[in-house]
Amino acid sequence: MAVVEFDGVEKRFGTVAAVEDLSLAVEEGEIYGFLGPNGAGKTTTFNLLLDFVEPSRGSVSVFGRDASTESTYVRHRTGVLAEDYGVYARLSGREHLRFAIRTKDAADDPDDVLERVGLRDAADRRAGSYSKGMRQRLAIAMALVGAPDLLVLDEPSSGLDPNGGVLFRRLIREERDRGATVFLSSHLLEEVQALCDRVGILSNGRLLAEGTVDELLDRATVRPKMTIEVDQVPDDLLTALREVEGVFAARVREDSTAVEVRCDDGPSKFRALSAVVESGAGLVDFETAAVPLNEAFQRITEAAAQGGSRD
Amino acid sequence: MWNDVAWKDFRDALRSRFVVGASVLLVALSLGTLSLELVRDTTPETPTRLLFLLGGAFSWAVPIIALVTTYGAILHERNSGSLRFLLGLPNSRRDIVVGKFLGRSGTVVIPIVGSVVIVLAGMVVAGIPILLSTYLPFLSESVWPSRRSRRPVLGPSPPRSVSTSCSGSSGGFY
Repeated sequence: MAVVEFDGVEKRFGTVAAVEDLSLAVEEGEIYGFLGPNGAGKTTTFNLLLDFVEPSRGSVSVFGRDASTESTYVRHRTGVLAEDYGVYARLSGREHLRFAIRTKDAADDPDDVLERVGLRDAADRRAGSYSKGMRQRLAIAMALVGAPDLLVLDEPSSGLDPNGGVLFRRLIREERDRGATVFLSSHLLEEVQALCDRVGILSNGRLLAEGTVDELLDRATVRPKMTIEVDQVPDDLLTALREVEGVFAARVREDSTAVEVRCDDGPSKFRALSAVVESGAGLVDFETAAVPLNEAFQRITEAAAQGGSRD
Repeated sequence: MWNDVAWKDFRDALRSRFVVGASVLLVALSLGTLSLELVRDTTPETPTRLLFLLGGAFSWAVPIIALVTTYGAILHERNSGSLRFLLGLPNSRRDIVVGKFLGRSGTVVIPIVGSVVIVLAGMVVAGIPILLSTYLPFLSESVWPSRRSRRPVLGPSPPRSVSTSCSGSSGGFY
């Protein structure tokens, strides 16, 4: 059963469409990640889900109920980490938790929840004195209150240090194992890859692609890069390389002393090297590198925007 | 729920330097007025004069306190982003408005009632007759003015997005 369902949703602010023709479903028990650059419409999507704004067209339902007319019900079963939230500077961490627990009629012990996010020692301090990372932990703790059936987390790991990031991923897996559905956004491909069962890529208010991270990488034909240093670049070298099985792209580096080849791992690399040797270019050295994730992300977005694969 | 919002808001406001300062100011005004009266000889007009002086002081202090407090309740919550916590939790818009109205009312009403109690206690000590028929209307008028005495404090209306809640939660005080 789909826990979150967007059906043909559009949200316009004046003449600007923040979200256009958005249809997506987050299934029960999965971790769904929203990936996209800033301004892609991720936050607007969450705002629609939480009834912070109403759709200009289309419908949003959560737990099979209308997200707008039954928002209180929806939020009762949902843990929320909104973007650009601010803490109550004069209230302590424990008081924040107590407020969330009372509002949700939950039976949690505030200190237990603070313990989960590593804030137990700071429970009595005013949240105004917390660092950015501590505030983020506090906000995550508030979202966890009452064992919600759905977690809606907008950029949850922003502001967290590396330890906080590891802790956060563990918490989210614990929540999923408990049976919760998780809907989060991130601009960190690495995080989404490590955490999410399924990913949707949003750009300019449109859902460009959906699938597992590996599927998306595959579709965008993101291949490892091999740099081959040569004495000289014969005219027909690039043509020869592009004909090699498993090679997707080849180009001469700007200083003309090396060619860069995108190819599959394994024998394809060996075949590409052989082609260089046979061309008489004079092999000097070579190195291979995995695709940097930010580049992969960019390529996925580009490929999705063009509606197909590219090399 | 509205009662949770009210309780949260009340606790939050109690820690505001402004609210604490304003309460101290109200109490100081009351004590000052009382002691001014006590150094004179008590006459049959003393209770009335006390009321007149206190009323004058309160009619300035209370609206200003209410204005600043409600500004904090609505605009600060919006600007700081903590409103997103409030709305992310299962509160309806009505829960938030009602809760804030009650929570912030508490922080204004309590010092008013406290000041009046102090004055009454001072009068008992000084042996000045207390006429409940005079003081009860004064107290109720401070907290919830009758239509006749209600007057506008603001000229132009505040920004549209907050005008409803703002005038709603501060309207009771003037």
